[in-house]
Amino acid sequence: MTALVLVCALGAVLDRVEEMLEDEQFEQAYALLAQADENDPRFASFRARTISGVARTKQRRDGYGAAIEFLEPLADTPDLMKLYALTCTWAGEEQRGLDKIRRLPDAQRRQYAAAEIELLWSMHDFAALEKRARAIGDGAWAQSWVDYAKNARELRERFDARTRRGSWVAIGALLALTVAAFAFTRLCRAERTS
Amino acid sequence: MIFEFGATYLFRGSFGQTVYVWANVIGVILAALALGYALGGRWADVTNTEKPLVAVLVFAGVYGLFVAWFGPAFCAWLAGPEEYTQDAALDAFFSQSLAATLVLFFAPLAALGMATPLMVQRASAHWPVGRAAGLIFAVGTVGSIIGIYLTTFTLVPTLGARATIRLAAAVLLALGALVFWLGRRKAGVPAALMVAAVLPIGWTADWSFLPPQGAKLLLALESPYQLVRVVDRPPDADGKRQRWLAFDEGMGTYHSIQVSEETPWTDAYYDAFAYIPAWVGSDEKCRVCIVGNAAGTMADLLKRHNPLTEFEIDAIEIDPAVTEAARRTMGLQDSPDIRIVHEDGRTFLRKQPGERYDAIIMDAYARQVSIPASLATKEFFELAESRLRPGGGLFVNLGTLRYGGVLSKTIADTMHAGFGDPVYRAPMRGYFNQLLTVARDAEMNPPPRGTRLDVTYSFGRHLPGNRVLTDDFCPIETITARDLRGIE
Repeated sequence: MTALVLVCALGAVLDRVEEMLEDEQFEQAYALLAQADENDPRFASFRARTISGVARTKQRRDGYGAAIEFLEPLADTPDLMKLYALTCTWAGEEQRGLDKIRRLPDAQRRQYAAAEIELLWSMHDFAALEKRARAIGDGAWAQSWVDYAKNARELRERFDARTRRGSWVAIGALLALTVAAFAFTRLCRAERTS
Repeated sequence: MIFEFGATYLFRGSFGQTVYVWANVIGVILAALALGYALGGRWADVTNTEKPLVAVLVFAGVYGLFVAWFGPAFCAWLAGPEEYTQDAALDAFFSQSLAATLVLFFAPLAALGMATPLMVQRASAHWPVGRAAGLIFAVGTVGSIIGIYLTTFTLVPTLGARATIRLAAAVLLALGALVFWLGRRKAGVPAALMVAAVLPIGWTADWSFLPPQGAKLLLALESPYQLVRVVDRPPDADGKRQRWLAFDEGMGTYHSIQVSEETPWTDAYYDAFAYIPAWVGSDEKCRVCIVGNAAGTMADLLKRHNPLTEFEIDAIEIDPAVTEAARRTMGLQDSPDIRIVHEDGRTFLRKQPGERYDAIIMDAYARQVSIPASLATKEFFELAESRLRPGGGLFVNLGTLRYGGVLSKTIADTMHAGFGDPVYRAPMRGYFNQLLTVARDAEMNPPPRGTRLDVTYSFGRHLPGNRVLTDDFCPIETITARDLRGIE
């Protein structure tokens, strides 16, 4: 009987939370959700939606920093970690997000691969991005990031090579002009003495 | 001066025309002139004929012809066939424009520098040396002034950069011929020089070698502001080609994308601006000022996706060549609710009455990478605020590689200083753009439902700092360069 009451109460709580989420009353929904049973299979999705909504509210009202502070201790699912990572990129605090993910044990870190890739992409660290995408595995998603990062890195290397080529041409031109100017002054001197 | 300005106009198709390119051109040309003066002085001391003067004029003229013909190909070889990414471009274009200036312009400008003391030497046969030197320098400086204005306002817009350099080279050859004839009274050599001078007439410029590889060039126009190109991009994975308006070297950036019935969205940053009437609560009638109209993508999207809204759009574009290119190739048409004005955005806004607009959209860029300095200061944002009705909004497209980088924070701080109201940023995930917005005397509303490119999710309040740009202090190009390099 007690269990039945609890189930009904939980259903009512989740229904109310659903209404609040639709009305974008995220912070109130978050407070109400604290009363719900975490073991209920519906709980996880409600929790993720609510946390995401509160983070968005904080972001609008108090800035990206407040959203990061709120999300940091709660980012324990791939979706929430990705939201945390995105918020870090919007705030320009990619390194903070990377540090959080890299501190995790390897198996757990792999769960958050999408978040880590997002952060590395935002930092334009193509070498690290390629390395991490290779380490993640050989699935199509990881492989597409390997290809993207490899192309970006190779393109960057070609651009660097052309930058060096420009420098060498400039140095060569300077040398040639110096030699020409020196030879010209010698000619003038020879003309004067003759 | 025609060579100096011609150099930057010649280079802009390959290296752009940032302050770094200008610095290389001015620095190298001044060094060449300095060396030329010194060497020419020595030469003048050991000669008493007109031959050296003829030689340097003819050398500079022939070299100028060589530059006009082979210069663009040399620049294209230095830059390579692909469009640069913004973070790689600045360093590459600095070294490449330095190399190109040294190879293409140092020698002829050194020769022209030599001409000055040689002319003084020749003139001193007729006048006292002080008067001769003064006269030569005065004539030279007046020639430079004429060269600046003639090149910028007449020659480049009508003939193009390469024909302008050819014309300058032809004038030098003609001068060489005249000096030779005055000294020797023989017609053979001058006649040959005059033939060489007029040979290039009728030759037309071609910019089809510019990147990206595989693109189809539809139109190229040279204006005092930029090299305007309309290209059909290389086909994407689905075989579709997008039509882009690109400026100068391109660098993988676009300044307008054509929209149509078949492709009503651009899949680029413009899409995030489409529902601005609902955003500022002016669904029925919306008065908008677009600063940086280009080919009119923004205005087109606004009208296409808000069919019930009555618009009154002032579309401001500083470069008439851009509008002409858009009319000829990108379907830009006159419309009773869009007024296209060719004027500087700030000057235009200053002339408008207060509280005129529901929304001001800023999408103006100078030299590809940075917002024009005059449109990035506290004073400009104060002006923009005064031209908005209370509750109206300013919407700025900011191109940046780093969502939370120094450029984004600086512009947001400056907007806050100008308006005194909260500024919001909305990075567009997957794009190197973000939307910055602020309302007059109000909190800016969140983006309306349906706003594209994840702007609804990334929309966040900017916590203001003290990186404020003013008319007195606005190093926007340096800040942009730092941002591209990831330096805070």
